[in-house]
Amino acid sequence: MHLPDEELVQQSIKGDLDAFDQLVRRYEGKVYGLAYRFMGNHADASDLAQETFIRIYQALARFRGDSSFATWLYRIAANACRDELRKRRRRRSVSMEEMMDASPANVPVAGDDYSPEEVAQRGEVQRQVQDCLNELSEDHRLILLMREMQGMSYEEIAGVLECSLGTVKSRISRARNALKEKMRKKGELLTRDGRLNGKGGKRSAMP
Amino acid sequence: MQCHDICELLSAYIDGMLDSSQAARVEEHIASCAVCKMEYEDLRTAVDLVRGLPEVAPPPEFHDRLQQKLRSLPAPADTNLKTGLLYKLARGKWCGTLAAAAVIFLTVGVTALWYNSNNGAILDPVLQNNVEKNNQNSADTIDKGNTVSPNAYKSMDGKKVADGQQEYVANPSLEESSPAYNAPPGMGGLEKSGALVAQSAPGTTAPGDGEQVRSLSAPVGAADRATKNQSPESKHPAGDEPQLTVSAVPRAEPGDPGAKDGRAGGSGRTMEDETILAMEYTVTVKGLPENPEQLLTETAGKYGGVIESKPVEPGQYWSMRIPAGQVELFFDEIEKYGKVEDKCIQSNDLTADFGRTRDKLNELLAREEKLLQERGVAEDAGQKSGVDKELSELQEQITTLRHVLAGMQQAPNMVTVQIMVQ
Repeated sequence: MHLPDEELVQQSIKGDLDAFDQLVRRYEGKVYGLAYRFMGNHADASDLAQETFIRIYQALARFRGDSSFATWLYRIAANACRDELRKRRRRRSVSMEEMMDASPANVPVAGDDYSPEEVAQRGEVQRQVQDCLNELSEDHRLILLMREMQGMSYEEIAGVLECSLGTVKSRISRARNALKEKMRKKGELLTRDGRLNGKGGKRSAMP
Repeated sequence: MQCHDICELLSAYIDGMLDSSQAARVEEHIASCAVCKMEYEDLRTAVDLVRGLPEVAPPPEFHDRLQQKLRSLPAPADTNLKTGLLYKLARGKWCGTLAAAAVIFLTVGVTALWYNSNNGAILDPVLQNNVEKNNQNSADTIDKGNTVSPNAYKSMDGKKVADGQQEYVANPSLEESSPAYNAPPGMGGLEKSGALVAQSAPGTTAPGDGEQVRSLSAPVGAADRATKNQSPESKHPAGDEPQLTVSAVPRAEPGDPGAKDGRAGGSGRTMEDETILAMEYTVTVKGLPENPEQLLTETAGKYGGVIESKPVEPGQYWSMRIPAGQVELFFDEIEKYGKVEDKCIQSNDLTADFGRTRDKLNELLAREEKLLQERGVAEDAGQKSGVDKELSELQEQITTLRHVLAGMQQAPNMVTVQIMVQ
């Protein structure tokens, strides 16, 4: 039975953990994916995604339905991301998890049918792309993840960030340009080889 | 339209967010301008590269852990009641600050209380007892006070006591003239306790002690002294109040207190206050079967340990590392085959080393951040920053330090076991 989010929220507020569990299952992939790309490793992503769902759970009764549940959820996730970084900056302490996570075993591997060389090369490109993302400011990283990874529309992003469409448009533009510059510095990403490793997509339609 | 204007539109063009006339102008321009075409292609590739990143699914245990955590929380309807100021303060961004403030107030309060009680305000039975005696026989009081607190102090931080001993107590004139200083040596390190001694028994001030005691015995207002105790250099007063000593000393001790304790405000995965002890067991095992190698290797392996080195000639030790939680089980198992004797457990405090290494690492990370910013600024301005070399060297050092820290952090989990087989 597929109940709408809002219905599940109402049941969750009454203490129905199963209802909330359904919501978690619906969104954990997205929240975790966002957290992973935002933090760059699994340990931090796990903490951050968990923190996000706990915040959501505790704030459920304050969800008024002014926006969709998904928008509200992303807003909390975005705030959790920012808070996490702020906390870190304040603390400036080195955690072991971070160190452990620097290990290459934690880099996701492409699952398609490629030769080992291609897989390795792809993995390397992905690692470099993630590095570039990590070097962006938190706002730029966040907005790019919402746009490119989560595939959110400008309107949806404006809803999450509670800002105007114009702000979203210009911020995405600046974030992409910053990313492009980071990639140029990395050297290989924007060369021919790098391009082949990108999706290509619409680009291939261009002459 | 200028190239610059076109570049501003490229992002929106990629997303199809331009109206048709703007889109047409962009297409027209990049068809004729090589520079802008390149810009467009790079931007397009950058976007595609991010879009091409695989989706990362949560690890299998994520869901269960989250469920477990959620189960421990009150229902959302309940939590919503707690939206008052206090709750927000406690949960919100002021949490760390509040906690730090609370610690400071506690310290100030406790310190003030302690001084107060020495001036007659009596709130603690131990103090009461001491102060009472103080009136009758000041020397007696000192003796009693000293027998309690240094022990407490010592039990919490043996290493520091030893330092104190060298620095302060090895002063013969002091020891001769004041019976107080014959008590366990921990006292010596606590300069502030000198104030107490001097205050309650002015006669005991040693003639040879010079400046330190003089300054301490000088009349200072209680508030003044309380303030002094907040300064990073001063050890917490441990005069004759055992409980305060126990609670205050270990927090303040590792590394230098001031700067770091300020940072330790946040909760979570900081290790600011954790003591890192590397444990070492040294034992003699008698009556093991003829060739113990297999037995020792297998037993160590069974409990998750590893053999680090084995004796080359008689009289040398087997050295192994065993997970801390398994050591006793490991010895129990060995006991089945031989007799474990002379078990000696030694702990080496790595806290200070760890603190130093971590501080160094943080320093490097701060520098790295600064360099990255510098580079970013230079890049935004279209210049070369020239920090690349320093940056790459820095990053190498960072990696090395991280490994060192990781090793130290593992130390408490893996106990070193030295076994002499006889």
